[in-house]
Amino acid sequence: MNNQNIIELKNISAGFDNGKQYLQVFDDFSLTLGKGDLNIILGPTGCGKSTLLNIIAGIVPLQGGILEFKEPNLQNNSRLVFQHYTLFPWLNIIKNVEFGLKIRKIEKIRRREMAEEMLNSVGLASFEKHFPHELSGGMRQRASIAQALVTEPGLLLMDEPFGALDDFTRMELQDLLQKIHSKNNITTIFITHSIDEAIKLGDRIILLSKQPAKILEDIRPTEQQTANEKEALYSKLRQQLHQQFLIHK
Amino acid sequence: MISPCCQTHPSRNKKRVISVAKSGTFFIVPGVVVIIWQITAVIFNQPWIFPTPLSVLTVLMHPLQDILASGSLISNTLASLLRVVIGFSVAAVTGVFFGLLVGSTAWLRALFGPMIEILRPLCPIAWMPFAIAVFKMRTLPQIFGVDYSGTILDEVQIGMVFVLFWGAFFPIFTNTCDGIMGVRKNYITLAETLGADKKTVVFRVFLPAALPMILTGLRLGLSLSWFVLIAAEMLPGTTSGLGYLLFYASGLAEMNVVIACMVIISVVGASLNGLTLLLLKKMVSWHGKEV
Repeated sequence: MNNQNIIELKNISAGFDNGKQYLQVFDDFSLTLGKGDLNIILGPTGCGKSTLLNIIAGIVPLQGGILEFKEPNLQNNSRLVFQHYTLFPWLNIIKNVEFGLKIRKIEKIRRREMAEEMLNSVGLASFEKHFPHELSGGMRQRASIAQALVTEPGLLLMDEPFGALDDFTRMELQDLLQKIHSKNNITTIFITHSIDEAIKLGDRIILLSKQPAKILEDIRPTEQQTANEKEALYSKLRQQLHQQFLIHK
Repeated sequence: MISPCCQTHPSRNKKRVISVAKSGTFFIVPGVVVIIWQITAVIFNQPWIFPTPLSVLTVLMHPLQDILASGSLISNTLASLLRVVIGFSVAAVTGVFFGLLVGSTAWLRALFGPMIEILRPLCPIAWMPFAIAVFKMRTLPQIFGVDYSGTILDEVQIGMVFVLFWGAFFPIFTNTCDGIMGVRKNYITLAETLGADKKTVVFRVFLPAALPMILTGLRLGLSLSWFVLIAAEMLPGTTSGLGYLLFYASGLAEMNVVIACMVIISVVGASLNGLTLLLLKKMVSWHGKEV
């Protein structure tokens, strides 16, 4: 957790045409994100969580307001991890991981070394020659995390990356993400539906309302130190978050 | 007692039995057809209409022998194949190139869309009179200023290549276009966020992602150009090729030669299709398994 702000969204408005009507997803929305935080964006389906991520990634344009990065070139140095179709199916795992390095024209031998090292750190060393369809869902997400991290991004944008996984694999990958985050402290924005996941992973949890999205809760659950206090906070948060879901259902 | 080295796994044995049974089944129907054909032809006894399979086989067994002063089966097959290879290659290069360009550029699609939709349903053979009028009987070496090269290239008329090109171009072009338009947005976003520029996205995302559709287009284009070729070779002005030999032999009531040509046309067509299918399977083994 860090107090230095790295991303500022000031009074932004944004939306998109879904083919039938124009949906105003954000209207006069402001948010500041700190450096090195693992920020969780939580909210009901269709509230604009993914749109927020895409705005920060530069994929969805703003209709109004300001998006400011406090570090130069941060937007270009951000990496996305999706829930589905997150690896190129025509490349094997190591070539998928090498993709970003190849674009950066990193020499072949060095590229291979870096990719191997990264695959090793996510536990996929023996699967480098496999194609994505030959791996389980959890392994594919490990590979896509490796693909995103190998280029040493300044910002990691994760759009429900563990949403399609079973509970056990999900927990394994949550642990992996925590381990990676505590090691290299990359500023991360993580979209999820799961309150448990938010509580487990987040340095900061931002709960959004339905469209046009507003911030309903902005919590830092890991600020509490003792185990008992933490547990009490977990219960309280769970109750609060559930209530928010029920109100906005 | 059987020593361990001689024992085979029961499932492997079962597989072998199935495989033998399958290859047996493969020959049953053609075998029965040939037997019925032979009996009927002998009873009918009019070889100029209905030759025996044996007389057809005799023609097929001598592929290098000159037939009706029109060249051998081999030389005519090679002439046909060469025309197809040249016409198809030109269509493959231009079809994939323009398919990539039009498929990835919305304004080009809007500009050329109506024109393409008008030209696409036009039967390639309908271009034949136009091609003869424009290119006359000019051959490939003549384009490069050589009147007679003394090689098989003298059998490749530009008009014929032009018609074959039209036959193969549209399946290749439309499949490439559709393939490009159907590329999942996630792959493009993923590449862009990994730092890919437009050129990298085209060659490292659009092209491989659309490859299954491109290869399907190439397969269709190759089959269609083979169809078109045989019909085009039957038109006046042609002096070689399987279509020419087939049509010429039918005029002389040499039905065994006609059927021998039909057999070769089928076998070559099936082989070309099989080869492209094999290529498809090898190159895009991931297709249909995206997750």
